[in-house]
Amino acid sequence: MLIVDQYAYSNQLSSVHPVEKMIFSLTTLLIALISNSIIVSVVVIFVMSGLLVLKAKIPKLVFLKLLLVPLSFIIMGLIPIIISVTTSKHDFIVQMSYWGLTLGISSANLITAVELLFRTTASVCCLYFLALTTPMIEINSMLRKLKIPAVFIEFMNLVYRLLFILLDTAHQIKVAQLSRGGYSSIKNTFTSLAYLGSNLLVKAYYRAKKLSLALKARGYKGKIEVLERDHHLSKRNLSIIAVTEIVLVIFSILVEVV
Amino acid sequence: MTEAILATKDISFNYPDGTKGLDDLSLTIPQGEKVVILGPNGAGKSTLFLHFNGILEPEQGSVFFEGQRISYDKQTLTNLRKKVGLIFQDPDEQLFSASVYQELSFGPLNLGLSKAKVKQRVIEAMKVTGISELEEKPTHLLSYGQKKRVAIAAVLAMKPKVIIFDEPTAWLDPQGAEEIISFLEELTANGITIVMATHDVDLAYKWADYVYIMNQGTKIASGIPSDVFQNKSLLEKVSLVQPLVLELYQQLQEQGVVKPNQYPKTKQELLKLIKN
Repeated sequence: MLIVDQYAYSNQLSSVHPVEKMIFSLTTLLIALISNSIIVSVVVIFVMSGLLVLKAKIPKLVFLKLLLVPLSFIIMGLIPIIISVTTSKHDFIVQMSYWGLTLGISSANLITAVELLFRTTASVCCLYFLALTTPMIEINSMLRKLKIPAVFIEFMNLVYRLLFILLDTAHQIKVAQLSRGGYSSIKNTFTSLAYLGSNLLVKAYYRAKKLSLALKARGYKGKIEVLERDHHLSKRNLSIIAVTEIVLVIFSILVEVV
Repeated sequence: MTEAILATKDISFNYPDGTKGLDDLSLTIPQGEKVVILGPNGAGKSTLFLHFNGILEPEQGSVFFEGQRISYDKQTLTNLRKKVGLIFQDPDEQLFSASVYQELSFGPLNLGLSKAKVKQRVIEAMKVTGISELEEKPTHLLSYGQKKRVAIAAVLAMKPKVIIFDEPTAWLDPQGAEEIISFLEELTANGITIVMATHDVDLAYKWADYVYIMNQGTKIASGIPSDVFQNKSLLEKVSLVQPLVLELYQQLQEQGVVKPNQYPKTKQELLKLIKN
């Protein structure tokens, strides 16, 4: 998901305090999950995608493409909910019977599935809001503030950094192979790929060893300590977030009651 | 020669796979000077550098810092790594954090400084290396030259007395290389001793106060550049060539165009000599 990473750094909301974005995204996510109403989900989807496209200036098409990734999984997951298989008779809207087995779609299941579709899409939008506007580094430093054990954070940090080195190395190997005729037939595509896989591991291992040398050279003693940048919470943003969330909560209660 | 800040005495080191690293090597790095170490690939330059910083321990012989023999206990090593900064050739090997700011804060924090002090050092290091505008950028989106600067800043933030550069100009475009060299000039002006490994004889001749030539883990020549680079046969032995300016100067001197023993360092200086 390198596109997500690049937008996380370059979007127009990147200078907003990460805690504000996290509070906003996670409370909205909570509301979207708790509420049973499709209307609330639709509102959340609109608010989140509106903010991402209009405020953070993420291109519409990019956002839609990104949404399609989890959506395809969601839709696959919905199929078993929509279609029931029984031996007894039901009041299905559509149905087919074979050898005593009945495949059918009941209206109740269809409603559940549609509700679920909207709710999950709303949740995905909330998480995309956080992922597309907040760089990993800042998510990490927030976790540090939340007193998550240092080991996890160091680990996340290193994995994040090394992921790019690994991708880079893989790319270099692939280019080197391509320029010498690799991947030119189905057979040598497999061998090239096998070489890439096995050598990537070896190279990654040496990279990691060298990195630990470089850390030692700067006085590493078993713990990676780094300084966090200072952020200032904006009261204005926090109040806007609070008002939005309260409105959403009231709205979802009203929808439920009425 | 001024007092030695770093020195090795008869050090030998072999890698576990049997590769010879260093073989009975003795050399001294004079305080405040610009020292270049030349030699073909595999001559042991990088191995030597890892000894300067206490990362490798010699099998025989000893390494000295400010006249003190390095013992390999934690306290001494921490102190040594604070004073001797090592900048690796490939900045991707050195940068562990995705954040420039965090990367720079790592070294000074290891020195046990207060957060306020570390912050001050980070900002200062970014300023002198000209990377202040990269603070917000993740390291993986930087160009090679920018990564190189970040790697240098990360070591500078520790305020070392000696900085060791493994081929600082490798893979840089001419302008980038030029910028790094003039930056090194600033560092020496501030009293920092610089040791550099390079393959660029022209750079070594122009820039260095003192030159060592290594081959197969040992020293084969040392001295001031205008002396060392006159020995053509020795240079050929380690597949090096004479610096262009020096070679031209010698030719012109033989033909009586220029006066002897003036040794121009740069093209401009040579042209001036020809004019007179």
